[in-house]
Amino acid sequence: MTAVPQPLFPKVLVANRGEIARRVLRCLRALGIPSAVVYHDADRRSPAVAETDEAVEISGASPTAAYLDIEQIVSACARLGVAAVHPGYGFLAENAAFAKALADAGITFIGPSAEVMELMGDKIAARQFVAEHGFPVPPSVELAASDAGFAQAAADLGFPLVVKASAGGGGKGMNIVRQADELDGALRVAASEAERYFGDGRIYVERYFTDIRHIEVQVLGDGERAVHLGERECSVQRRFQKVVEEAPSPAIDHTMRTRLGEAAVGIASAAAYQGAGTVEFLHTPEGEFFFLEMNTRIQVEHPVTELVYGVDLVAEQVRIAAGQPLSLRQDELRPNGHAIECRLCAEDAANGFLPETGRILHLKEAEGEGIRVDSGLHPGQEITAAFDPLLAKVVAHGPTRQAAIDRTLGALRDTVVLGVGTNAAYLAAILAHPAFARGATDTGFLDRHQAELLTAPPTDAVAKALAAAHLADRQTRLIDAAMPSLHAAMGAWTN
Amino acid sequence: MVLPRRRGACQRLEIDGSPLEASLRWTGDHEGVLTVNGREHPVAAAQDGPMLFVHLEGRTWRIECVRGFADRSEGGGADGGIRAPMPGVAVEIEVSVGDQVEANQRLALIESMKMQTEIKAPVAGTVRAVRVAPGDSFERGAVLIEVEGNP
Amino acid sequence: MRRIETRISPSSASYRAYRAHNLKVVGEFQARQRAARLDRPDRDRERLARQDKQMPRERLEQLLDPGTPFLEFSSLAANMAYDGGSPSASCITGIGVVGGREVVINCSDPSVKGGAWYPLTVKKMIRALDIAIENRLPVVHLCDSAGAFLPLQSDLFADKAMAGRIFRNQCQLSKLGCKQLALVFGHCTAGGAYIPTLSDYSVIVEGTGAVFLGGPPLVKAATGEEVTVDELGGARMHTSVSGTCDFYAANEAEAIAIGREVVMQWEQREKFPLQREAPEAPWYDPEDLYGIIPDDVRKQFDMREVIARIVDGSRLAEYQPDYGDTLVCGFANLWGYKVGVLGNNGVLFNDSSLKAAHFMELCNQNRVPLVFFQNITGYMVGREYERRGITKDGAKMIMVQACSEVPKFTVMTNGSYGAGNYGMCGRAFDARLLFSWPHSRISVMGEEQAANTLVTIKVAQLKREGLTPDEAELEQIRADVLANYENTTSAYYATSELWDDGILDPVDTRNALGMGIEAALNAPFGEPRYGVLRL
Repeated sequence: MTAVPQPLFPKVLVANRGEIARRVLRCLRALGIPSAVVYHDADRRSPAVAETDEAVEISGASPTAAYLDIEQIVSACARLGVAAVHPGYGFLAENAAFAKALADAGITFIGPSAEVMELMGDKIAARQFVAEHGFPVPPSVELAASDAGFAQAAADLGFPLVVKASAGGGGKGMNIVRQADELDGALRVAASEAERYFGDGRIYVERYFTDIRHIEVQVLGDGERAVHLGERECSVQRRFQKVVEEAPSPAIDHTMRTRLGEAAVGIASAAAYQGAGTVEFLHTPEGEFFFLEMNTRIQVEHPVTELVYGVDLVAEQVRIAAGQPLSLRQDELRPNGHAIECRLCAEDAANGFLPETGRILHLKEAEGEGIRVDSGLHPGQEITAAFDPLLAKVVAHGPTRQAAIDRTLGALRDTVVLGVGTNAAYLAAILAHPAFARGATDTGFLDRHQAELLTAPPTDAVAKALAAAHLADRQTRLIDAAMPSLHAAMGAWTN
Repeated sequence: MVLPRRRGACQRLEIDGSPLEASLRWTGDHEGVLTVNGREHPVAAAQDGPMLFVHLEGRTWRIECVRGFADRSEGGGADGGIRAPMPGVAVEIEVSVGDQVEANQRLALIESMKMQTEIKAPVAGTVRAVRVAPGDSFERGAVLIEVEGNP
Repeated sequence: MRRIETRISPSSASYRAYRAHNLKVVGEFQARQRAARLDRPDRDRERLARQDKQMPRERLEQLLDPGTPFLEFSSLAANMAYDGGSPSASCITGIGVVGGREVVINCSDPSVKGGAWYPLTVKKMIRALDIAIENRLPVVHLCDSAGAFLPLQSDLFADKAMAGRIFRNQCQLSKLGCKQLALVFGHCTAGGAYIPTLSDYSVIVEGTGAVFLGGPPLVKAATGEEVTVDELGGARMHTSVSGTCDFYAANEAEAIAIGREVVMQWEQREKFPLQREAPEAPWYDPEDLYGIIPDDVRKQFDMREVIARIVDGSRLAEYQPDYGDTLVCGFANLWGYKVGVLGNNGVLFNDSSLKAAHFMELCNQNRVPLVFFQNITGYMVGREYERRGITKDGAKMIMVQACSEVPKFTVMTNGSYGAGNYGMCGRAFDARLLFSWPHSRISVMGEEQAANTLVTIKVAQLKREGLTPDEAELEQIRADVLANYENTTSAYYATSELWDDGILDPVDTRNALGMGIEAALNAPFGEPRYGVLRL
């Protein structure tokens, strides 16, 4: 008799939707763990629901509300008898209350402890924690906005400044102040927004660096020990939202990588971090770096790290949550080649990036050597404003940065999503831009090159597309199918 | 502007004044080969009402088909007035003047012959007028709600 | 099948002279046609615009599939009648393509006297519906007419071929399974009300469309009832109360869109499987026709040169090439379709008549449509020919032609005189379509002969009255007779009176015939069967 290996958990529920739900399910299947998902009616026909072993419907005032409903999800877990929950990213992924509720129900939350989540979720506390452990944080005003001398302290930092919500993060709840007379208004707006969006009106003010690099380091920790898996460069951003990410960063050499990695591992170790996390840094052109925040979840852009390090980060999360010690050793983790991720979104780049809605009429994901597309799309899917506009992540790996760029461009060309407008052409324009090719990316990249990135397509491309549209048009096809060939051949003749 | 000058297997089109010979051979429901002036390009295309989506040379186009010959507007009348499909009584009115609505969003519920029917927005737009209140009865063809489509 | 060897040379003096002449002739035709189609007084245009109505040709353009042909019939109908008061006889008819389906168009022209029906309007509409019946084509009526033009009511109302025939034809069409759609853009009053009601489908436009037996003034006069147009026969009323019309349209564009949807639901029947090859353009340039047709109707030309500019690859399988050579017969392809061609190369003699009769029998047996190219002064006269039975042989030709069950098409290329017109499938012999070239002439006999005959009669008459006209008076009589005769023998007169389906620029002949043959395939070809032939 051969021993049947016990799965890490008897059953794991994915409390998420879309591409990340599929991504986690794929991992669970590979690990031989029975899976379950919760889903809102809007996702009834999604691939995640089709691919899981069990699915439970949850409801809410809006689809988003359903995925945020801790009580419903925990009770679904109890009903299904799941042993652990993977929260994906977004929704409840960094919600300490969710982790506690699961713990109370005897269910493992696949992620760090509630305490660490609370610590890192409070951006003010996190800054203090990091600073106390001797790692650099951006210059900021330590006073409360109501304190005397605040305005002077802010002005002393130098403009521009950024006002952030303590409970924010991931680019949310941020307001830039470019000159002194804007400060007062910005503080009031920020405080009220923070109260409204996060239920926590606390804000803080940091020096805002323009044209800086956004570098983040992937870490894994088992509570005892932590390792880093190098950096990801996420400087190509629009309104604090990442658009293109890559690993490694073209601006980071081995020495710098080691320094950043040590800082990230130091922070994770100080927090006795368990699971996968990301430490975000600002990297100045002078080679300085500052701690920005730590994300206590799997990141959207995790695939670039996976492709470069050959590590399944989600599997590592599950193993750590199951109590297994970290098996990776820092000296064995070496980057191999280069990987780039593009966020394919339902938005109209040429028209102020307004969200696009529609129904997926046809779908074809790119494939090929080094290409990975993470998507939760399915034909017939309604793309509404109810969810994040991210449709799919088009990722490619290559031996060199240029090879990765070329493959990503190829993958973008071969990715067909019909039925909703996407930013595919905009993404391709970014990748094809000479400044991107040089690696000259920073947070000002998109604004600086806006005009070149949004150039109108050439006339002959327009003509070809119009010809294709005319020929594909149902009316044209019906008419042509019905029409005698003589009339077709004679064309628009009249006597 | 696409003006077909000759139809059939290979069409002669006039596009914004320039002539072009084009044909499309389908290889699947949504995929085919577009030949333009003798050169072949793989193409994918799909249609949703007047909206055509074309994927060509790595670019996805959303092309609204506005026909030289008339196209029947879908849903309510051209005035944006949503008319009662049958005489009945308004049960619920879910929007008020000034509301932004999505296409197909439920605006009202009416009842007639013991049967309830949803009244949906024909287009995404702004509610300009609400002509009935719950309990009001109306005739067939009466304008219930007016929605002005987004430009 | 061999390509016709041309004998004409574009560099020859005659070619250049003929070409100059014919370009002028065709230019004049086109100018007249353009005026009939488009020239309207501003006040009429403004009136339509005020009513939110489009010009009829704008409506047609929206209705017909873009990139498809439209064969218009009789664009110059009524051009010599009513002092030019009814251009194109106040309506547009033709064969066009809607949703890929060929349909006959019957479109009122409200820009002329509110679309009122003149006698020739009625004749033109009846002809369009006859074409639909003969070819089993569906019809789309675009209705916007004030009704009968009352001052001329006696010329359009009561007789067999007058207004009632429109409705009779509509009923026949329906019985034959030919669908009809009426788009009601304007008023359909009295008799006109039956056009939409006898149609299988109808769409009516809010505000402008109305259908009633008697309009508000008539109702007021008859019963004293005061009623608005909308109440009496408006779009809402007819589509929700009376059920007289099927579809309500908010405006003209919507009506046309609904109409297109309706047509696209119609079944498409199998067509007659006429022999066909891949279509091929004529080998010789059709524009050569301008250099082939002489500048005087009395000058002879070889019809093979004409045929070579019209048929596929300029190829003709000539039948009996060395017998009865005043008539060219042979098989050719036109837009790929097999046709039997008959063209005059002189007076019809006994042998050419017999050849024609036999060739038409072959075409009927082969199920091949017939195309006649007329340039005929008649059957040969004189003692010798009568003794040989020229009338008897001509009768055989007329009998076989008249009884032919295959579709027939006729082109008046030059002259068409006397019984030759009959033998070569003149208007009375039910050609599916009959076209005239702009310089062609048609009459019972040639102009000179006719003028001389008439002058002789006139002089005899004067002499009986004791008058002896001098040379100058004789010349004046001759000139008057000739002018009047010329006027009524011109293609413009023929087309004005609807003796044809329109004047064609010669280079359009190939397409017009192609459209006609394609349409003809919608009706079954009958079995060959003839009357008694006088042998």
